[in-house]
Amino acid sequence: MLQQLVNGIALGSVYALIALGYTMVYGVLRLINFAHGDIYMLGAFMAYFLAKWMGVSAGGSLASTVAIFLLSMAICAAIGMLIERLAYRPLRALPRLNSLITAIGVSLLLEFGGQMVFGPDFKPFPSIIQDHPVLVIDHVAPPAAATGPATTQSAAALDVSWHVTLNGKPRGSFNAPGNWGLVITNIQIIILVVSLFLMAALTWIVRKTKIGRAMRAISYDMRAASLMGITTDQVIAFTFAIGSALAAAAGILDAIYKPTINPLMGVLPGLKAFVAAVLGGIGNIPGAMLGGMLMGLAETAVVASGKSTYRDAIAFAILIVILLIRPRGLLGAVTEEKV
Amino acid sequence: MALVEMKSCSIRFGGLLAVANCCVKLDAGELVSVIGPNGAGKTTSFNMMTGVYKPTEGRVFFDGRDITGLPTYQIARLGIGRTFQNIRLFKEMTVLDNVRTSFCAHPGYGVPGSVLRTARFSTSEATIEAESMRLLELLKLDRFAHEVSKNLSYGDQRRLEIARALALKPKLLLLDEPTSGMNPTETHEVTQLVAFLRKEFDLTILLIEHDMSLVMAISDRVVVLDGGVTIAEGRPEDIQRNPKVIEAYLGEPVE
Amino acid sequence: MGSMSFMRRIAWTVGVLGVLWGTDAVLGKSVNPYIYDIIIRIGITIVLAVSLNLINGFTGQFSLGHAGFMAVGGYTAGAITYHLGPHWVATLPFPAGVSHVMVFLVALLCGALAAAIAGLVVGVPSLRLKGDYLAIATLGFGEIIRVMIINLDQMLSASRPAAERNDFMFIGGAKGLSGIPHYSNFFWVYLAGVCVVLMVRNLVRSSHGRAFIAVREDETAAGAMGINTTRTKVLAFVIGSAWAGIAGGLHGHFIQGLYPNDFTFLQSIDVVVVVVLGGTGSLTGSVVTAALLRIVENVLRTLPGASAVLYLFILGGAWASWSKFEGRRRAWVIQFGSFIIGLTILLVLANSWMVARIAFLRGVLYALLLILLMLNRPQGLLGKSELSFAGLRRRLSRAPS
Repeated sequence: MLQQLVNGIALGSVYALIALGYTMVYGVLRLINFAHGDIYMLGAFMAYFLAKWMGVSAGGSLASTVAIFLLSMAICAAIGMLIERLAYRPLRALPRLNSLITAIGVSLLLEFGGQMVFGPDFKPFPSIIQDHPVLVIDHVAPPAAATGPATTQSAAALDVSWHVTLNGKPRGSFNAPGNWGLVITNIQIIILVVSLFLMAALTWIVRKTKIGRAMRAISYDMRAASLMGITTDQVIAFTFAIGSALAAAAGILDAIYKPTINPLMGVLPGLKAFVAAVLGGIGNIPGAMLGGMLMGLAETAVVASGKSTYRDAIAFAILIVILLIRPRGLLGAVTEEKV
Repeated sequence: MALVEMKSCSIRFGGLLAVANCCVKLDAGELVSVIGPNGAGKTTSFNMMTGVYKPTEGRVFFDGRDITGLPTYQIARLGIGRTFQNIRLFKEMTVLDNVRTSFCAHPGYGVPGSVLRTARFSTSEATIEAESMRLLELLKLDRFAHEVSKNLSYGDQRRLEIARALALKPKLLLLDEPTSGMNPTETHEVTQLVAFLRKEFDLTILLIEHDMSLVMAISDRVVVLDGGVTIAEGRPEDIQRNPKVIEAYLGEPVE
Repeated sequence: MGSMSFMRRIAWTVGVLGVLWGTDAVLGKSVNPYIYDIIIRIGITIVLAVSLNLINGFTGQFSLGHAGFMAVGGYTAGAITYHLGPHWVATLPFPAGVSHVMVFLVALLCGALAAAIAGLVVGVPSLRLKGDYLAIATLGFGEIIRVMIINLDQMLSASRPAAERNDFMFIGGAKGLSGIPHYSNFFWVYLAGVCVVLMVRNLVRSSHGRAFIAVREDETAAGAMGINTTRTKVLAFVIGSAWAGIAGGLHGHFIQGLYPNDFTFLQSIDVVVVVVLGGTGSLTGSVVTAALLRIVENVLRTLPGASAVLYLFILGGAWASWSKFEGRRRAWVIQFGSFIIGLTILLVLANSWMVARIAFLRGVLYALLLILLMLNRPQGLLGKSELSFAGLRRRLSRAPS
């Protein structure tokens, strides 16, 4: 149970990072950027090529890992801005249906293009971070303690007897009924920490900086914002840049975790992250984070319950339920139309 | 008994009380104008009456029925027609088609009829077209019948909206700022048109207007709203001299 | 719009049926199977596009789940012909040919009905939503339908004893249902095409059509004119879904199999693309674009074909932007000249690389086509107008510009 929680949070963090990009772009442009999931894929591929070029394979240094992250994120930010500039900006005045179709076109372009240029096969991702367990809770008693009173314990008692190992060193034990078995790997911790850091950074940008205020202003009323002197084009480009960078980070984290990549890896996570954004309230940043976490937990729960064939369907089920019961999402606001 | 009555209707949007305790009553055949500064809640009251908004408090009665909260289309079918403050024509449709939409509620044939083009379809369509053209002639729009409505001049578009509402054969007609954006000549034409239509179709009319010449010329009664509250009601001459009304429009004199 | 006399109707019906039957006979003998395949696919696409146009184009409701209804109709029809067909053919007192036709028609009609019911179930809750939300709700429903189809066999056999479960086959699950009789041919597919075009055309030019368009243009005003907007939207949705179901049935009985991967979100997108590129709200646009897209798709299968299309792109772009380069002719020559030279170099140097990846190149070109068309002509080929002979004559007489 605990394990599912940890797995769910790790998965949810990745979804949250992607969902943030969807929600921000929808907030400023009212556009569902279908191509966003493919930026996640590009992030992973950029990291792949960078790692190969830098010769990182069996566990690189902290410096090289950070470099790979930052460079990939920067490249994807640039790609995101390029897409906005070429494909979405010209259509801003037109009905949103056209932008939606274009977004689908861009998504298909990235997917087919990726298959064409990178090859459709699954590539193993170089382990730029070595995988090892950090926190382990299990039944097995550490060797040093197998003396004296421990050997006289009954089999039943062993079932509720748990031992905690942190970083390879035994840290004690406790007795509790239920399944407390747990393995937390360093990668999962990194995913969580990096995600939280990025989300906090984003929240800071949106709340405390001038450009964040500009983003919020545009999301309320673009015309009024531009009349107030906000250079909407630049702010929108910035929004795309940040969203793409976050998606790229999510892609790299996921690639480290899996660890394979392929040009279509962005399709399902993209859709699920989108559902997460809708769940939390599309256009609402804390909502995207909340939605992401909930999606991750829901998916992990479905897999844990044994019906893993439905793991992708749960996303659509959640989508339908939320759209029918509360379309504005958990944290979203109702928008009134002036008659 | 009054034809239409709004009893103590209020509506809130979030924390904002847009209209408070609005009581409007019209007897059959009356022409009542609602005036007031912008944002006073005039269109919102119209919207409560036509089912676009549901009042948070109060009830609306029409022709003896409680119509509070009924969907817009049902209220329209009961006999309330309206025009909109910002013209809401079906832009890509022709002038004739715009008027014919009012017959969609009771076309006289079903889906099989239109797909198979039965005799019933032909006769019903002929009737619809004839009645619509008659209305267009009355409003001097018949020469534009097959023109796409977005190509019409502003004044013609406003008249088309009225024609469309009339095609519903309403008992009550709500006109929301019919002369907005018009010069004095056009306003005068609309004034005469409204008076004519009132007699021709035996209509009860509720009018939102800013143009005092129109209001004074044809209203039986005037209701003044400000900040969501009714501040005065009475005959046009009395309202003109009412100090509260003057204050609402022009402000207080500087001491 | 008067109604035709009974005799004239009979004459027209017989005439159309005759032409279709004759063409079917001729095509069957003279045209190679590859081209026949494309012609059939065009026909099925026409049914899908016209029915979606009713929903998206005329009623303005953005549905992204058309493939789901295609699946419902297809699987229903297929299940009937697969499981019940042989028995009926054997027991009906008609000659075999007639019995097969009857089975096919019954199957298609049941498919249409099932798809219509699915349309109702999906439509009633979803059509309360607007714009983007409706789009993603329909997308979600489309995928859920597909997941349910994949898991149906498993669900139905869960209550049976374990030994029987492996042999249980109702609609085949993820593997699909193969061995469906080959009933679809030019006649049936294009008969469906003619019927759907006629139906939608007649509907649009009637009170119902005006209600659809009113809802599209301005829902609030439509309500104020007494139009029950929900019922109108649902009606369009149900009719559109029913025809998608028929298309699904035609598809299944053409490729002789029903596979879940034929009804994914990508298929829905494909139909949306046809509708948008042809002009939402234009019937002839949908028909023409259906044909064009399927043809271009096949031209793109080979590298020479793809190269031809690419050169045409560049030339087309050059022609279209001629006016934008007023006074800068040299820049125009340099820009498009470099495109052409660059493309030629690419084709020469990377020829084998591109041939190996031609399948993906096709997808890339499809996507590029979509993006470029959206950027340069968002209203599609025909916008909201219809192609007519009078219109063509007018345009041609104005030609040199």
